[in-house]
Formats: sequence, C-alpha cells, structure tokens
Amino acid sequence: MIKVTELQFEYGRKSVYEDFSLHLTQPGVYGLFGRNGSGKSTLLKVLAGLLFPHGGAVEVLGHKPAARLPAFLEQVYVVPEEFHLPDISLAVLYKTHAPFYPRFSGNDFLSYAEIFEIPRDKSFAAMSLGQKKKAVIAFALATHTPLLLMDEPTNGLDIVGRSQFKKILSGKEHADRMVIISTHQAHDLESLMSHVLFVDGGKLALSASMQTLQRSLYLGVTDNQADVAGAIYQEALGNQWAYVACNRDTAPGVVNLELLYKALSMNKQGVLDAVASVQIETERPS
Amino acid sequence: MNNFFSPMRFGRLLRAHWAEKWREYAWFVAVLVMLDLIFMAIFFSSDRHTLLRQFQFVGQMQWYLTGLFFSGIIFAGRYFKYLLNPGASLVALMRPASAFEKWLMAFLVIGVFYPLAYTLLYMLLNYPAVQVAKAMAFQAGSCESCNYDFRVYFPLLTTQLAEVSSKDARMFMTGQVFFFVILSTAQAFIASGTAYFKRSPVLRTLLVLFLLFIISIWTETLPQLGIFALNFDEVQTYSTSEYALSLALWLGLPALLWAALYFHIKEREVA
Repeated sequence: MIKVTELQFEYGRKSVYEDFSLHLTQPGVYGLFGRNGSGKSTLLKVLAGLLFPHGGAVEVLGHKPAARLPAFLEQVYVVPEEFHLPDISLAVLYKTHAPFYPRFSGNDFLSYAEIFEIPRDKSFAAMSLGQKKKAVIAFALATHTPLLLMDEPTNGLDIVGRSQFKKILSGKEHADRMVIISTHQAHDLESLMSHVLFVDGGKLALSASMQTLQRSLYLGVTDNQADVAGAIYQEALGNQWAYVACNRDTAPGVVNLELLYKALSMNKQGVLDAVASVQIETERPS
Repeated sequence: MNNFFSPMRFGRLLRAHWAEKWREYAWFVAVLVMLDLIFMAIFFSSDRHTLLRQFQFVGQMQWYLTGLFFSGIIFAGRYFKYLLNPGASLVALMRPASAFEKWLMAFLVIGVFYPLAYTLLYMLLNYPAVQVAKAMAFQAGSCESCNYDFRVYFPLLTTQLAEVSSKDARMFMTGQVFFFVILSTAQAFIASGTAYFKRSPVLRTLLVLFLLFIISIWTETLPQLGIFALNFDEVQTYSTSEYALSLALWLGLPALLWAALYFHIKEREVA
C-alpha cells in the first residue's frame, strides 16, 4: 500500500527527512508519533502528494502521489489539522462532493452525522469549530477510501466528540482500509491502533504492531520506587511512579501510548532494544 | 480511467465549485451593480455635456471596456485567493480531478464565463440607462447641428457601423478584438502569478509586471502592435505571412500565460 524509500525532504536549509524508509502493507489504524517539528504532518502531505519529495521514492496505492492523478486522489482522503469547509450545508456537501469518491456511502455519512449530532441543513459558517471538525471527519470516514490520512483529528473535539469518533472508527466497515493518524493525544486513540510508527531525527525510529509492543513492554504505575529500578523510562506522579520496562512475563502488557511516547522521546534506544528482542524471537523459525 | 479529462468528472468539479463559490460571485456582482448605479447617478446629475458623452455609442463602449478590464483583472486576482488558506488549498488540490480539469475550470470561469456574465449585466443596466439619457437629451432641446448617436453598444457587433463605413467598422472590430486579447493576457498573468506566489501573491505579481515593464523599456523591446496598430490616415495592408505571424504572436502571449497557469496548478504544494 505504502512504500517510501530513502525519502529526503527539506524546508529551505532545514532537513526534515534524510534516508527515511517506510513499508506498510496491511490495513489497520496506524498511530504516527513524534516530537514537535519531527515531520509527521510533512510525511502525511508527502504521502498525499501535497508536498513533493526532494529525493528517494514514494509509492502509495501503486501511484506516485506527486502526480496527483484522479485515480489516486479518489483513493486517498486527508483530514488536515488546519481544515477548511466551504460555506455550504452538510446536505450540499454530500450532494456536490460525495460523487468524487466511488466508494462513498451516503448511509454511513448520514449515520455518522447522526452519531456526531451535526445539523444537516445548517451552513458550516454558522457551526462551531467542533461541529465543523465532526463534519469533516464524518465525510472523510464515509468516503471509504483505501487510505485515510488524519492529522490531529481529535483536536477541537470535546470529550463526547472524541468518544463518538472512536466509536465510528472502530466500526467493522473501516477494517479493510489503512488509516494513518498523527496525534499528540495518544490516550484518545490507543484502543483503536493496530500499529505504532515513531518518527525521530528524520528517520523512522520505531514501527511495531500493538501486539509486539504488548509482548515486549510493561507500562505501569507503582507505589514502590524499587520496582522502577532498571526501567526504560520512569516519572514521578505524586507519591507514585509511572514507568516503562521490558515485559518479562509471557502475558501481554497494557500499552499506554502517552507513556510510550514519553519513553521514546527520552530513551528511544531502550524502547527499541526491548521491542527488537521480541521481534527477533517472533521471526525466529521454530 | 482517463486521468487527463473526463466530462463527467469535469461536470462534478464545476458543480462543486459553483456550490462553494456562488455566494462570493453574487457579492461580486452586487458590488459591480452598486458601483455602476452610483456612477450612473453621477452622470445623470452632471451637466448635459457629460450626459451626452457618457451615454452615446462611443461613451458606452469606453465604459463597458474599462469596467470589464478592471473588474476582470480583479476577478482573476481573486480566483486563487483560497491558496492563501492551507486548508482550502488542500481541499482544492486533493479534489479528485486532473490538473488539466482544474486548469480548464479556471480558464473558463475567469476567461469566458466572467466576461459573458459581465456583458449580460452591462446590457441589463446599460439599455434602460441609454433610453433615459436619450429621452433627457431630446427633452432638453436638441441642437439642430448636433448629430447624436444613441445606438446601444453591443460588444463585437458593429454591423450598423459597417453600413456607414467599412474602414470604421474594421477599426472598431480590430480594436475590440485587441482589447479581448489584452484582457485575456492580463487575466492569465494575474491568475498565474497568484497561483505561483505563496506569500503576498497579488503584490508580487504586480511587482513582476512592473519589473517586466521596466526591463522592456530598458532593453527597448516593447511589444509592437502589428496588425492591431490603428492607422487613421491610411489602410495598412499586410501579407498573409505577416498577418499570420502578428496574430500568432499576439495570441501566443495569452496562450503561453494560460499554459503557465496549468503548470503552476500542477506543481503547487501545500506546506
């Protein structure tokens, strides 16, 4: 589905990607993480064909995104952080924009609009930021494009809205599409994610399935400081300690993406070593 | 799937564009109507000389051409203003249509539909105004030696003039055709500039135009009018090859600028 080879990209003299490679073949919800300025949004735009690579090769759904051919564009939908909606109503949006997407489901769109409680005949100009964001998300999900790229989709949504978003995205109708979500609000979406991508220093620092992370890492909270000895990452939470450690048990651990995100930001190598040991074991022939 | 042009997809693109932009266009028309009515009120309240000059045949033509030129350029400069908004430009560039279809829509809206809409609007406002001016001119007592010309002006239609003098008709027609070539060139230039520059696009486009003007003066390469030159004293005759070359050069200029717009749309990025 997505094959990025030795991608290079710069903004002026500031290099964002050097020798970045990524290969994704399976559908699922991919969490794209990284620190501010690490190039998450840039990567999404390169995959969508909105930014052109300065080196390397990018192939998405068998197309070169930079060509922006209609056959490619009708298979990809982007929900940007800074979204825009024209001054029309939901009904007009459906009537005039849905025909561009061959897999668009009108029933799903109406159903999502109902879940999100978006007024159908009210102009977007008269809606709140949160309502507009919900409309963009509802439309994006109803397109059923094989690839959906979302940049901070839960920004601007209230607690109920985030819960509604999770409910919709977890629907079985999205099981066969690839959704890449760039977010800092990891906790909102960790139950949905099947795979985690971590971008750091212009390279893909981590690409692991949730299953691998659960088997390799233990993320927890303890009252006893002795428990955190040798942990990959630890932080004080009042009288308690939150920590990330290697999972020594056979039972899968619970993955807290916010804690993992911090661990990757502060001790990337520790996390990578732990994950690599499980990946090597998994790949070892029996 | 045809990735270059599909009539069905192009129809969808036009429908989506109209749904999003009709309010903006309605406002543009409303402002034009208001300006026209304000100027008409000024002309009607002015002295008799101004009234006669403004609403006679030549005055109507000048008013039409001036209005179309300036409003056409402003319209072209506003077409790509959505590119200043990253969210809006993302929506436009990611819309499943080819770069050619997006270019064709821009060309049709700016270069064809707008002048047609302006012409229709002009006709609706101009016709009654000319009738009123005509009535006022004759009511106020006409001078016997004056030869008033209150025929209603229709762009590119000069059959009545042709009956009077074929030389006059030819000059009128040539002048109007030249105007539309220049209008299309100016629209293509401003549309290309605003699609190319990411920051202060209108200002930078005008700056480039000014620099080109200065360079052309400095290098003494100002364009020659060729077949569009107006000779009042004698009828200039051209050979077929001279005629074709001059026409090709003058038509080539807007064609190249419109082609440049295609590549600016195709190569536009959203940071």
